[in-house]
Amino acid sequence: MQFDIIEKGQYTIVQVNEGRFDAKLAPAFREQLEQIKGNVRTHLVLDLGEVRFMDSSGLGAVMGAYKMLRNTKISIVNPQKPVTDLLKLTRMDKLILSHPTIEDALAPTA
Amino acid sequence: MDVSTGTFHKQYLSSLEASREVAEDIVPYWNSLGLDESIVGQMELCLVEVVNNVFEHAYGNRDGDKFEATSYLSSANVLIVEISDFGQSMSNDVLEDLLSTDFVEPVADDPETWLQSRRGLKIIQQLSDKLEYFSHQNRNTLRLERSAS
Repeated sequence: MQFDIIEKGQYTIVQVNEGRFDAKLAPAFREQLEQIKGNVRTHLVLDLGEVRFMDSSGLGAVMGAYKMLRNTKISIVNPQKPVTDLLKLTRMDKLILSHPTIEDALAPTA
Repeated sequence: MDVSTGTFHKQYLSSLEASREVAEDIVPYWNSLGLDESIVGQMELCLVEVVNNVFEHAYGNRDGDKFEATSYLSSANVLIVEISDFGQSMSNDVLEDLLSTDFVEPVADDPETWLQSRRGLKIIQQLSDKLEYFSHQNRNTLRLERSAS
């Protein structure tokens, strides 16, 4: 499965089980988010631990989720260096915070 | 790869997954040149953005149109990457706009700043040392340079 959806308290975790979050994967991610958007809890956590490559299409899909779920907090967890570098380069790290672990993202102060 | 010249050159057909195919071929070639891991990673991102741009804009998301990828290390130790297509060329306005603007810092309560156009080309511009684009006899080439030193 390309994605796993985990419900946990007030959080919905979307785990991306692919090494490349790119133009090929982005449409499936958008479709997945469309399917669950009505049931997403107050905090959407994107676990990108498996993603070792992300391009502007993958980033665009994440930003699409941000736009779609305007009243939902969105965090990225477990990002590998190419993902954090891309977020920083495009300045999207100002909008979507990254955390090393799911527990960090779920901490009340995160 | 042409062993005598050390140049990578291959033809591909446009598709949504073509960027994966090209990256799978070229990244091992770059690694064989002994390039730094961070340079390889950044140039892989540039390569994927260029190939996606060809699919989306030169060929209007159409499958099966030919494009070519060439890469080599120059005598000055500069990594050269050239992607050529035979579709719709990019206008000068796009390139001029690209060179005159930076990434917009997103603001939480301003959705206009969230989804930026031409983000892929801006990434290429930021990560490469030099970007050139030229069209000749229906062949459009985007050429990137990146110091390997």
